[in-house]
Amino acid sequence: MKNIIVIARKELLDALRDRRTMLMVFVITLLGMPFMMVVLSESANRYETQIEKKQIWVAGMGNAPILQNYVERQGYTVREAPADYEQQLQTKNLIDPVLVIDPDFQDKLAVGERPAVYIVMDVANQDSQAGVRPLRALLQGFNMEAAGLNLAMRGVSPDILNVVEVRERHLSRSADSGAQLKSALSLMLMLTMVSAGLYAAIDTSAGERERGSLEPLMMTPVSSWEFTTGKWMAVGSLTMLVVVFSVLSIFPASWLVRNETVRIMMQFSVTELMLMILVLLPLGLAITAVQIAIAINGKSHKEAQARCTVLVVAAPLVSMVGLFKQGADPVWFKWVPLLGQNQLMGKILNNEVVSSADMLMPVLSCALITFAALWYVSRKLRTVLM
Amino acid sequence: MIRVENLSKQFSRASNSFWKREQNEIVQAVTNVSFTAADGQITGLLGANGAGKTTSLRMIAALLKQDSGQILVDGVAVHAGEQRTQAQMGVLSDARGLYPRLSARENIVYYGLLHGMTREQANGRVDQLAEILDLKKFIERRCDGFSQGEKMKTALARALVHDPRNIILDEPTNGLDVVATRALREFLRWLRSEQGGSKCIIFSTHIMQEVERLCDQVVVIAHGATVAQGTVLQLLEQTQENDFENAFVKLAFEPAHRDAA
Repeated sequence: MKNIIVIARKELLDALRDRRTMLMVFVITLLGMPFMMVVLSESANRYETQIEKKQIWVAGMGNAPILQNYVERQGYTVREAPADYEQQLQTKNLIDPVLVIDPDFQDKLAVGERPAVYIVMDVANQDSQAGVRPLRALLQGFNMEAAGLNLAMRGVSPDILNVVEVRERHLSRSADSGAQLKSALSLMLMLTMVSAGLYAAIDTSAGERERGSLEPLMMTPVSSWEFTTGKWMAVGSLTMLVVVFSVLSIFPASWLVRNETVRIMMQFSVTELMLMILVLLPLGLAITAVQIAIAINGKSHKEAQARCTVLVVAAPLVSMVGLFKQGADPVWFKWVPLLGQNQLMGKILNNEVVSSADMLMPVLSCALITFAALWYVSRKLRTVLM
Repeated sequence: MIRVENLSKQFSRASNSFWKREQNEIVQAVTNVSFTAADGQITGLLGANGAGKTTSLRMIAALLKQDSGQILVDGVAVHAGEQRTQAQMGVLSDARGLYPRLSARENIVYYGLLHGMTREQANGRVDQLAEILDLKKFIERRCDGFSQGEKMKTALARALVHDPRNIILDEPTNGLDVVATRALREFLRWLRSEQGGSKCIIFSTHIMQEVERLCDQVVVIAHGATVAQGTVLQLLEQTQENDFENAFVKLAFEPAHRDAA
């Protein structure tokens, strides 16, 4: 045990003095989480303000005074669209759809014809798409009012047009941005774990080979198992340190969030944060062990980095498997690292109860992977020299 | 004391092509190396490049498994990958990597701790070695940017930090200037003496002057086998040469002399 601590201490000291490792750690912990939250909050904000701002862009409003009257009565401000609105929509200078009214609108309406109006937007301009629905609803309202008046003048109740009364209750918006935020948060933490200790893992294995320091190490009376465990402990604690900081950075990051809905979503209790860390801990340690196991086969940093890229790419892909399933999660999800943790994180973020039985399977599979990876590394440490 | 008997080792070099199943190339690195390195003596392993010196030393250091033969360190058989004999050995191999982000002292102390010393003991030993090997100027500096000589001295101190009874040095003067080489020679002589602990020192080199000036016993290795052994004088007599370089060339490259030896 004394040897393991000596090795872990040295490896940790070495990693803390490594600029590349520390840059990775600081960038991820200090910037990653706050950046993600600000981006999400801003996108939620934009969506909400677009719906709430009650403003429409129209080309040719003067052609339809009756429509203008209706629109303004609904509390909307009418703004004259610029002449080059098509180009502005394409270049995303204009983020709302434009309503285009033909010059003969009023004449056609007067003789009982149906004048056409156009909602112009660019499919590639996502913001303009978001504004289509309120605009369509506004026009629908106008249609209903005009038709209703026509019918009323002929002594028919306007209700005849509405066989069914449809009412909308909006629950989805806050829940939607919440779900998006939660999966993004979970994915962010997984990515953090995969990348946080990567350089340290490579340096402690392939780095030793490249420097030529593995051979002298193997000539000391310390077993390969002790070396492996010490190295794993050092890199693992670095990874976990990053994860803990990332999770805790949710607190200060939520100050940067301007969107109310998102801010409410991010109000986690200390217990929830601790639970998140507890869920991620075994995964972080397993990932570290696998990283070292992959990197030990590399003769240089460069080679090991190329090998480890597989892991960096695979991790988000595995997490995404969960997105493609339909209905409830299958049981085998619990056994797959990343998927199992993703599932548990989802539960914690949704304020569901996480039992120790839920934790058992992911912890067990992580422990098995860790052990297998460490066993492989301890065997390899000597054989790569032979 | 280190005894090496009939050591042999072959490597199989993988074929270059991934798709074609070709026969792996077999390289016989060591065919028959035998010698005894006594305590209180400096034994020089002398051989041309690729003669099998480094492979033999790696087997003695338990890094490589021999195909046949036996190695005894202080009477204990060496098995590759096992640590039994390593506590009694200080090895400066051709891989001399230091940790660039640690200071020379931290590098050496780390090995001391791995050899079971306490931090105080290791630090005390570092001070002692710093004095002898002239490391004081850079002992507290990080190894990143060390000159070849500074690296070599640090690696040497690291190999000797636990004061081993048996010392194996693979071409230790590589990269050292004249003054440092002299200092190293003096140090090795001191280690051989009773005050220095009568160490058993094996020293591999291909530099004749070093062998002439330093070694009590010379083992000439050629083509993976021991072709001659004895003191410098004995080898000169055997080859009837006055110049040791000529004697070595005769022993290593002329079969008639090898057979006579």
